[in-house]
Amino acid sequence: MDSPDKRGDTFMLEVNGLVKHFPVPGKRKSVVHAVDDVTFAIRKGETLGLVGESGCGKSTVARTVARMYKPTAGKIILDSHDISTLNGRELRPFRKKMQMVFQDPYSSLNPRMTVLSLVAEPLIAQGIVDTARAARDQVVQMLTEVGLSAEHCSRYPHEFSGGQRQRISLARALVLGPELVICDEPISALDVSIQAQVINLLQRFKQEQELTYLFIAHDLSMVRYVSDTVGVMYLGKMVEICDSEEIYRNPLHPYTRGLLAAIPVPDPGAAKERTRSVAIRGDLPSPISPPRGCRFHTRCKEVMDICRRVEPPLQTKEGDHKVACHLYGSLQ
Amino acid sequence: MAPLLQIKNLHTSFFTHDGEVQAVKGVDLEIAEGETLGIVGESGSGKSVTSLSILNLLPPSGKVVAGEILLNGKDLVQAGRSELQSIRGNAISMIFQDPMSSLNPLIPVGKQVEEMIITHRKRTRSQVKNDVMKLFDMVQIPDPAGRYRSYPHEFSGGMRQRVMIAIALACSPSLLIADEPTTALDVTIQDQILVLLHSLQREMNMSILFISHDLGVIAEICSRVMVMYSGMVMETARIDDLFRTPAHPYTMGLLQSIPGIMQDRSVPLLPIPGSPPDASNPPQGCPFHPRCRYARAICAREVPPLQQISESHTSRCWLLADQAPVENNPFAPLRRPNG
Repeated sequence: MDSPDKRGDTFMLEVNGLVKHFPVPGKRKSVVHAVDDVTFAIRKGETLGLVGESGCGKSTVARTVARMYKPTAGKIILDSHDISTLNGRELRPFRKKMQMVFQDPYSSLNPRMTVLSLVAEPLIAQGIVDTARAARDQVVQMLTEVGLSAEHCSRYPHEFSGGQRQRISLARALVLGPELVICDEPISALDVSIQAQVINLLQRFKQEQELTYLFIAHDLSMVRYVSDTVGVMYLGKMVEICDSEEIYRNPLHPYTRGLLAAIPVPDPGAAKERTRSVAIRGDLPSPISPPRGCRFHTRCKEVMDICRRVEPPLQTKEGDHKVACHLYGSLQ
Repeated sequence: MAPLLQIKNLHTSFFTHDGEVQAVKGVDLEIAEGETLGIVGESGSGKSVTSLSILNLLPPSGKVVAGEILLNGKDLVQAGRSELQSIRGNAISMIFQDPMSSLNPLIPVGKQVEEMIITHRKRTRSQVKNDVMKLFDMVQIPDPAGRYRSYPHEFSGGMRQRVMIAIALACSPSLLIADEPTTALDVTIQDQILVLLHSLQREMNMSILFISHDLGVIAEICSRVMVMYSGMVMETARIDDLFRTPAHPYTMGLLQSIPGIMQDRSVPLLPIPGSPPDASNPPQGCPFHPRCRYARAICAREVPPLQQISESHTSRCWLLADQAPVENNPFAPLRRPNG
């Protein structure tokens, strides 16, 4: 495996010590610890996948990186520019470089706009064209690339299936020629037979245009398949991050192991061999008052005394493999 | 032994202002005592409508237009209102995808479980309370006495689904219909609920009709599975046979389009092209033919009959017919000599 310095590539995105807290309505002193001290980096042309249960903060990371939210603390460095504290107007040139695809292709497309105006909208917002009509050639070319055609230009979102709508969202995101695309659960709302179509499309764009992806999903098999690096989040913390092959070959964190064990395997042989015991017991604790020490200790099968008191830092185990767990002692 | 539930040639339609939409077109199924049958399919495949037809829980525009639904030999399609009412939640009960919208937000959960017992059983007040505690304990809700007075919003998604299971099992049904019961839950919670259902089923020897779009979940919990597409049964098989020797191009397509946890990342996924058909305007012939890579002329003309491959394995595909060519036919080895 290549070590990071051997690959020596530049980073498309660097996130350092990102913190995002939300106020709790009606309670002035308490906050939701959505993201707490998360650090990662994505090399140009690579995909970083973030997985975790709902409420782990993966979508908040995506939205904060896209600067839909202002970070509470930490740095977001996009292609060597610090964008963490820029305001709306200052961010505009960076929006060209960074686009987002959302989970629900029903609520993310304005039902009263035609496909032409939907896909042309980013071009108009960036001042590249003045009207949707002027962008027609560019829009048609983009539609063709995502598997739609010129005849779809005058149609409205309700005339399309979920899979086709996600293609429109993709066309909208890619029409500006971004370098980083943030995909927040882009296939979760789609039927099983359609998911692979959208994934293959994303993979093709990655190769042809050397796109960099931040890919968020709860489906670990799919995340491993599309990503070069996988990060596992739990209750606002990054608990493990490593090469995507490592994540199932050599998972270190008890939470990662539990997640892997909980995935239903589409293979009845494997399912029967599995001991029918629960992979991870209990529920996610409240992110308003997360547990002291390691945030996973309330559900961990291998909990030790120290886990209840001291929070384990994310440390390098070997090569690119980082884990935040006391089982591996002090690694330095 | 006669099956617990037998559905024969079920047709269910919705009558909209645009005319009749056939949601279920001739479904046959059998569930034996203690068996778990899975129905897998995408949205619009008719899997949920099939399950709602059993207890006649269809919306006002929906109607069973033909067929029989036999519970221990008694036809539920012909049953009267009060007769059905005495079966619902008693001999057959149901759990749904979204436990939040299935529970009343204004009533403590303990009372909602009580309601089921009071409706169907003659029990005193203290007996009922005792029963509820036992049920909470059975579905592993911690601190049953304390949780009795809690409201649904005080529970997590997984705990709410446990409450739903407690309600469903309150009268020890012989059949539990589970319609995507884990779809709204996280994988770790899904795993907990599947383990729970598995152990409860063995304890109570009940049958389960488990509906899901996720072949992984089906593989975990079912012994037999039925694949539905556009209101029809495309393939029925024992779970191992379906995964080892799928006998329908749609089933094959579904299996190939999901990446395994060990899948080689450099190999592209093999998606099924196109989209599922529009229920109000389904294609002629085999409903899957516009998306099928093996489709031939006959597939666009006539619906293929269900072909018997083995005693427990049937599939609806022209490739299994005697006249089908051998080249470019993945199912040629599965055909039985002389039909």
